[in-house]
Amino acid sequence: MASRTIRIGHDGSLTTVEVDVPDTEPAIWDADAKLSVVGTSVPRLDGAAKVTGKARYTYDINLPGMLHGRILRCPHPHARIVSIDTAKAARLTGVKAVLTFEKPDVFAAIGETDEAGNPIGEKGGAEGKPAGMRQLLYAGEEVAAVAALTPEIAGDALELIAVRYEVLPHVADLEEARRPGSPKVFPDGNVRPASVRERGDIAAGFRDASVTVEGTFTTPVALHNALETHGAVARWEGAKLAVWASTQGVFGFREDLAKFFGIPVANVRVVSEYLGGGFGAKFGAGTTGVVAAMLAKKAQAPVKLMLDRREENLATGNRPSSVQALRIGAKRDGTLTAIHLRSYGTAGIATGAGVGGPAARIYACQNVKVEEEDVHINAGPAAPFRAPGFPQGSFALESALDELADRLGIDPLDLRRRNYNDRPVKALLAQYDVAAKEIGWERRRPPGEGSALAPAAKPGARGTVRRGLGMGTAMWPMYGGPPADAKVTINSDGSVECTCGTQDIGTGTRTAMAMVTAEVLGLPHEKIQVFLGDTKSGMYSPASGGSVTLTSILPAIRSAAEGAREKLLKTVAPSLGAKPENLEMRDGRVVVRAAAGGGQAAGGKGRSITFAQAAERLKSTVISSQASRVKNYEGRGIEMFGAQFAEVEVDTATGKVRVLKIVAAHDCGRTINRLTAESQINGGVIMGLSYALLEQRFIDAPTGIVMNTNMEDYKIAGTLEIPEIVPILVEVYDPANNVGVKGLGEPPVVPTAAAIANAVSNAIGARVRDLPITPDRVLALLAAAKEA
Amino acid sequence: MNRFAFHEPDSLAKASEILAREGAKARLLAGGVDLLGEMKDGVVAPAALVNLKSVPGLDGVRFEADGTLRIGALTTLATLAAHTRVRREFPAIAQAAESVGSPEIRNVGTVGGNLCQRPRCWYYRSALHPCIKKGGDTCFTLNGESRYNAILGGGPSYIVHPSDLAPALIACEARVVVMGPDGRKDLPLEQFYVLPSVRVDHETILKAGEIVTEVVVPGSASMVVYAAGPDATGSRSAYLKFKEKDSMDFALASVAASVKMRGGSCTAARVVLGGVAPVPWRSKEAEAAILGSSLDAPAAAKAAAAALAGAVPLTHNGYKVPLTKSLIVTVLLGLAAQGPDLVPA
Repeated sequence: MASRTIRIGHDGSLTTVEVDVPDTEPAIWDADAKLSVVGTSVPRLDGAAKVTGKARYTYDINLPGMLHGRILRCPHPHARIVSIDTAKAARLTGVKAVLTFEKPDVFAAIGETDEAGNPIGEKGGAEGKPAGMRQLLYAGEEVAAVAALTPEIAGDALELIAVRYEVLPHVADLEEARRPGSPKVFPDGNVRPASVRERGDIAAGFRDASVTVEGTFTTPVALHNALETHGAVARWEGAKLAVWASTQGVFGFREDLAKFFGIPVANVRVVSEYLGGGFGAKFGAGTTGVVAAMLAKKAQAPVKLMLDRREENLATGNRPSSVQALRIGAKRDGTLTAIHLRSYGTAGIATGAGVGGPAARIYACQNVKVEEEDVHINAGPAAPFRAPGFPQGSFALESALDELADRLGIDPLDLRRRNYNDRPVKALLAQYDVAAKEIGWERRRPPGEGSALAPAAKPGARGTVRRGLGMGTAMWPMYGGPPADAKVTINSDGSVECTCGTQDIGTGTRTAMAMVTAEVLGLPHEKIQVFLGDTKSGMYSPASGGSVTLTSILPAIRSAAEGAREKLLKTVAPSLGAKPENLEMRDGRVVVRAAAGGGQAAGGKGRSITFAQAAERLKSTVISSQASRVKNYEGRGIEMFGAQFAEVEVDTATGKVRVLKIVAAHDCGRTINRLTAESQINGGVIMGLSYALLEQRFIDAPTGIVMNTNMEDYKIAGTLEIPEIVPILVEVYDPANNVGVKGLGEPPVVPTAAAIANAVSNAIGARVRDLPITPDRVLALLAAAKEA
Repeated sequence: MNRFAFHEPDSLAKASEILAREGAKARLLAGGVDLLGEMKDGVVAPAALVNLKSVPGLDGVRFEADGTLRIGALTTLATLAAHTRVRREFPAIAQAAESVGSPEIRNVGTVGGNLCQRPRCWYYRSALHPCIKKGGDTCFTLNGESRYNAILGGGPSYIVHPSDLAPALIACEARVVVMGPDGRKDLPLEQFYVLPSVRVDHETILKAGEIVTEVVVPGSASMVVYAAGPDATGSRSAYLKFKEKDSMDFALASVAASVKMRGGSCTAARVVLGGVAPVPWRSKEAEAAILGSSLDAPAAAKAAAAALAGAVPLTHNGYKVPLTKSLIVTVLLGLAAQGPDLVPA
């Protein structure tokens, strides 16, 4: 280990600290690093391929002799399989394999993990189900599968499978599931013991409070709806299995398959070159990946199994609902004295309904208690969904804080500033300032005090439109780390390859990998060929979730590139008459620079050759440099912060909310690609807006069937819903790795709904307590306010 | 989707004959927007499709010498929405056509298909719910999710009619032409639709073999034309559709209205609601409330109250009452504000 001095902070607020790092680490890209490629704004390397249809997604993989798989799903929310007769289906011309899943433990070996890689969910499991025939716990659970020459034949075959079900009592309503005597999803009951986190003493905190606000906030079950559905193409070659999969974790997918089939991991290859989104629902092989491989094995032919939108929205994951009773105590000056959150929600037959992150972590408060409860219903299992728990928790917390601010007569932004939590290094106060200025926060008035926001009168307008402003703080606590491996190769023709097994979930990973490699080698990023999305690379990467991809892999890529650079410089130094340490790579050249002290001998300063000329000296050999990521530097910040401000317009005659503008100030540590970073912010804001105003899964409680599984009835924001979005990146230099990058996948989705809800409440003078903020709810709030 | 025989008749008579012969097993295909959705969702599984597009002469927008507007059943919504003279003389119709779906849907969706489309009710569209419209014995909305269902005219089914075009056309006094085994029928579009209490399996009077061929709208010359701007003139009609999601959605509620004004007083009016009843809901109560008025705010409010006086909300759709009232007021006041009468009727 060696102690290095680095400059940290953000522009206008920089300071120097010591950090202990392994000797092998290159110079850390701290605040003083002068970089030429990293930090610029460049289009994705694969952008043209994607928009022209050249990029091959899993759906586009077609192998010789490939069959098409389809899954038969349970039509009942709770049932036991009595018998399955597949004879007719098997006899249908073109059907090559039929599988049935009536055994209780058929999918028990499939591990599902959360964004940190920990096992999640209670799906199946020996404890839950009696021996004998399999019990199905939600409408949409897998019952049988078919592989056939065409998807149509496979569909016909499904209809020929005769399944006898014993229909069991179900519960599909959250409140009903909590009541004693309601049908049990699992034998040990529907309500899981609450998980409790506590610091300080909330009783004392509330005693110290001059003002207390409390309210109950609810959020709906939301569906991921990545544009590309779940699916895989599987091909067996003897005991070896190759799978093209729509997955955000090729290595986890591979391990699931190896475990399920009891074959060595080395026998399985998983490829995900292009991925049409995952948002947390595509970590492991899941039943879809396993069934694809099972069908391929039975049919002895490659099988493509892609889910349709309905299946996607029944069986592949969702964001749990929440009911949050939140109580906050504060002193007259706004200092928070206590936060008490009691929540419950449903993740269907899985768990994961916790929402306490924001309440426990965002603001400074010494006394916090968070009690979170999972309630099972007969519905599809939840899966991690972009910042699990945080959009829900943020909505309740920020809403209650605005209520507190209005009660105390304090500006809501000032209230946040007064409760600023100064751990760790961050630019939150600067982000507040810049975003508040951009939105024109000074125009905000407390409800009832008139408004400087009145829209310009339109001809014929009836004066029913009101405007409001609101804000919320973004926070996300996950960060990458080891293990992650990468390889950089320099060929004698000057071409460069950067290889990491990681997948590009859509965030621009491929381009970021090229940019870091290019920075080290002094090349334009387009010159770097990137290979990713393939377990065969042998270069491990964690799954792309939790905003950990770049923080995990880029430090390894940088180290690998530095190693390749060193080797090339060693090769060419003699011919340049210079020592390797006196050479640098920039602008596509290897340049001799002045040695320290200035005493460079003949053949010295200013001489240079092109990168290609340097590579030529390899004489048909190849430089190959592999590196592993070291652990995060002690003491450096691994949390991300940001602030979002919203301006909305509410038509009090119809209840319609229109978001006019969202300003989103965030940081991702050191920005790698400004364009894709801003794109992450835009995407998070759009997803958060859609969650705030439109999205909710409806289950018909009496029949236990999800009613809105298509994208007409499950409403997602479209072009006309999307307001002006102003992404602002305030870079924070607090490197816990040699690149100084932090994640940006999750943070932008965290406070959007909260900011919009606060703006709506500000506009109408009534507190929004339920998402989504649909016209019926706004009209009800206005009617209630009128009565009061 | 099921397998089906595909017929491409070259005449209306042949199309009608196939439909009459096959009965409930056959479905007419025009733009296919609605039908394909039903088939993919497993709501219907017709053994035969009859492609109306193979019959010549059923598309196009024509104005006769007396100003009568004739719209062929195969006219796309995009064509109708973009038609300059329709936009000028029948704003409600153009606005309604333009409010449908997305550009892609309007490019293939037809006028006839829009008028004959089936309900969007979640339970009707669910293959797992044998609802009363599909031969079952219950309307699931009564104990289930009813946020998008009917507040007027419901029972025993509580669907809402999804067409945007129908309320606008009825407000403009349109007639519909139907060809079938019994020959040609020509009836007010208003009478084309039937409540579930009269017929529960379908929303129209159409019988097997009957095909909508044309919509005929009496000329705007008979209507009051007002000054809409320095140069433009237009008749006084409007369609206002309220969507939860502006980018693409069916109406939570919509209002079509046309009025005639004489000497500052309303001499004729039609108010038709969409998205709130199993049929396009003409409110004669609302019309009565504004007739003879100056179409001012109190009159508009009176009309709104009258239109919704008989509303019976289900568990989750009470919001439609204030919402629809508000839309009625907005539409009527908007019509009143369109400018002075230019030509007396």
